[in-house]
Amino acid sequence: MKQVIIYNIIILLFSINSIFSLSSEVKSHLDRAEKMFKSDYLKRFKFIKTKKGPDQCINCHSNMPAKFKKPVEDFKKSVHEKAGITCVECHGGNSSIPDPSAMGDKFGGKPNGFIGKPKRNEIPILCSRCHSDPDYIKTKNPVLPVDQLEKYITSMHAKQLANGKLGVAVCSDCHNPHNILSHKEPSSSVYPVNVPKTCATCHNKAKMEKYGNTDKKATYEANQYNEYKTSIHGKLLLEKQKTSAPACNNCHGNHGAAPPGIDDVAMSCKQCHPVNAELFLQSKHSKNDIFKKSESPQCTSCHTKHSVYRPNHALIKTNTKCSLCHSEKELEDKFKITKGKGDSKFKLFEDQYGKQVQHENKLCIDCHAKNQTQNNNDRANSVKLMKNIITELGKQVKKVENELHTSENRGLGVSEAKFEFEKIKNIRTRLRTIHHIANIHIKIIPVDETYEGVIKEGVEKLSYKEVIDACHIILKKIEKKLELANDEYSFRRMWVAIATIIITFLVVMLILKIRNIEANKT
Amino acid sequence: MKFRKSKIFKWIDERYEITPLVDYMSKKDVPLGSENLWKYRKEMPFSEFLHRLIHRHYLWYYFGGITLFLFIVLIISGFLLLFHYKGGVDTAYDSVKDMISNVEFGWLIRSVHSWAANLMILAAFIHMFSVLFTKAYRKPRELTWVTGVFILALSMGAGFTGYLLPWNKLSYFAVQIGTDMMKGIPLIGDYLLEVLRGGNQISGATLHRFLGLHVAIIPLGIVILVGIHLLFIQRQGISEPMEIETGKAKMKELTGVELNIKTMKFFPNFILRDLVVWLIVLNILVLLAVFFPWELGEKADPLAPPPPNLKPEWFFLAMYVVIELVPIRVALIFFGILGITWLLIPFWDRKASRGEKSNFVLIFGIVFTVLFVILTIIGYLFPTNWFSKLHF
Repeated sequence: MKQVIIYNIIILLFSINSIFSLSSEVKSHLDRAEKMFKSDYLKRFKFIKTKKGPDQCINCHSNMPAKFKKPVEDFKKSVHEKAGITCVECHGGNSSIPDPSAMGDKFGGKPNGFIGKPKRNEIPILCSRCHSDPDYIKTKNPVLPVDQLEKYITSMHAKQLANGKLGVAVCSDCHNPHNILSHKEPSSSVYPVNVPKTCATCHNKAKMEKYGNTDKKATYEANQYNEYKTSIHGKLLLEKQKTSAPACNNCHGNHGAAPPGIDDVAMSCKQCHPVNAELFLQSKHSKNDIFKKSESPQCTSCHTKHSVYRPNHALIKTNTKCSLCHSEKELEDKFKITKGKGDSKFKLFEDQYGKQVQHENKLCIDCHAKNQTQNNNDRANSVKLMKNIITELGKQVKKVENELHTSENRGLGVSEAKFEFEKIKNIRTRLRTIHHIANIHIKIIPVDETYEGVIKEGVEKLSYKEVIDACHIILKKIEKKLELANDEYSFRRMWVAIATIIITFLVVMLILKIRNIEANKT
Repeated sequence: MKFRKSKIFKWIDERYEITPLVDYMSKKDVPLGSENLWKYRKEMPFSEFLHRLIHRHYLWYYFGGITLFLFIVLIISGFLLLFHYKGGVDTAYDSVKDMISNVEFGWLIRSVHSWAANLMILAAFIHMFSVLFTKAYRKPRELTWVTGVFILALSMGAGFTGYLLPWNKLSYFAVQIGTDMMKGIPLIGDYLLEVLRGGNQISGATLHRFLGLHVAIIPLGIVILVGIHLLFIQRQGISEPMEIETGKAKMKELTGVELNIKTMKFFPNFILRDLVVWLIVLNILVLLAVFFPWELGEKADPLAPPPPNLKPEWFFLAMYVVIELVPIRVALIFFGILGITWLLIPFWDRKASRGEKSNFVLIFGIVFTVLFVILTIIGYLFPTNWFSKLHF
């Protein structure tokens, strides 16, 4: 008995440096969080980590029923286990005692700082004890950020938690309490592809109502995941597994998750769509502060928030996007624009050309551009010209694409032509973004290596029309390469025909020889 | 014989004494079945009659030769590919692409190599099944069968290792899945996987290992085994189907008539016929290469998600379906037992060596062949996620 007491004292002395100690800076940070979340965790929590010998928590729990064993099994796969973190560093207590008294007074021992399962309002503080401490994090993984708590405090989750709503997300809801994996691990709940599903575990109608959030907005928001799944972002991330496509956190932030403010929407979208955003900022919509005046978010007013789809002719349909604002009543109510300015034109257009434009799958912007060629007043000609050049380019691209496909199927070396064709695809994608300035003749498209060998040296910016001309030059280059490939194919066919004739001749000769030999023998 | 009198022959014979070898070869016969069969059709049971009738069409004898010819094509085209191929994560794909686009007849050599590899395995399978059903493995040709099974296994290994060499997307992920199966091997699975991959992941090290295996170790193994296989055939001659042997005896017992077995001289009659078949196969190869060129696909990107509906090469499809349907460890144990049983057929099929009918081997062979064909078709037709729904 004496020996056991002495042994425990020695362990206590040796592990004194591992007993909870934090720098004053981190401590003040945590104190602030404790006040916000009304927690006394830091006062209650203490631990003694096994320095030598097996971890007794793992030892006992490994031999217990599934309910108690599972946390240990999960923990063994986690990054914490790999970093040498032990159970007591989150749960408190003494991991060197091989009996239940390790878990303090609740299990027959002396009070030793064991807190068991942490309360939900304590979890952000518990995690931040290490994750807000740069000195400590440096010893484990120097590239890990240490500002999670700082950001979390600014999030909607934290604000609700401070209001006593314990159902909101805390660290362990997104990162899993025991099986904490790196966000780079595909099976991790915070791996980009899994993030939308992780968020949707709470952000769904049933859960939101359970948390008492039953207002209309919350119910609507609860459908984000379903909307996101159908969006272009969702399809890229969830179906094509393109991890560069945005998940929830790319717009809302990770730890400081909150909906972007009305003015922040464009900024958020700009992170991935800089050219569109730049052009939008130069458009009438932005310059006249239309969105600000109407208190509408910028990009999402037309493209929607979560179900972002590829813009198409539906944008001009009555009662949707463009027409939402460009209609008599809306304009009057929202922007205080006098009657008959934009609305009547739209109405007139809708009546006269609506069906035709829908049929041709055009956007408003495809035609809404001024002609700056010869006659500024000749709008009819401008629209015609626009329509003609875009349609012509589309036809040419389709034709070359088919030829390229045929050549590829024939196994011809068309990699260079394919490379050039990729340029056309990129340019056409960029052309779609140019729509945001609502003018096709302003020289706004910066020249890069895509246009190498196609435009004059020294030119820095191109207009929409010049870009289309450049596309035609590239297409001609591709067609030349495809012609060469077709010549090669004819050459191959000729040689295979010659080879077949030679082989057939040899086969016939051999058969005759065999017959000759066998006839002689008989 | 003109050739024997020629100066070249004399020059060689004077130095290397090849006359006995040529004499030996010209004395060898290829059995063609009974020539006076029709006369005795009433006295003979129908099945035996049919066997002999089929045997008169000695088509199956050519598949061994076709396999050998395709192997020679593979060696030659492989050498030519090696002149241009640059093994390495950054260079492999580009060198193959450059070969197809810029090297004179590079496209032809690559396509011929790929088609020849697949046709060789197909020919080897047909050859093996024809040997199984004619029971040509029976005493004294047990070791010929064993070497043949090893040649087929090595050829499949060559196909597997060669698949990765262009370093394209499909091959990268298919090889990843293929090598992952190693984990299922009890005790040494993890170690074997690491040895084969040269690490945990498919990387440059894996490519170099596969290149070494594909261009040196496996072909060397095949050459040695083919040499032994051919030596056995030359020493023992071409096997006569068992039914002919037993039929002859039975015929004599029933009618007292001794059947004459029609034969063909191996040299030059059979060799010339072989040459005709080889020329036709060569023509088929060239036609396939021109009209159905082997696709190169996209460059492998280890960070990209695996392409949907990923499948191994056709000769692994049956195995792949089994692995998709049952736990991997069970599947590998099953394959192990099946492989050993298959390899040792000549040793456990005692009836065949005694010249008796053994229906068990026949049923075993038919079930195996039918299952192999059906599973290959299922693997080819059904999408990958179809299997995951059936996991149990």
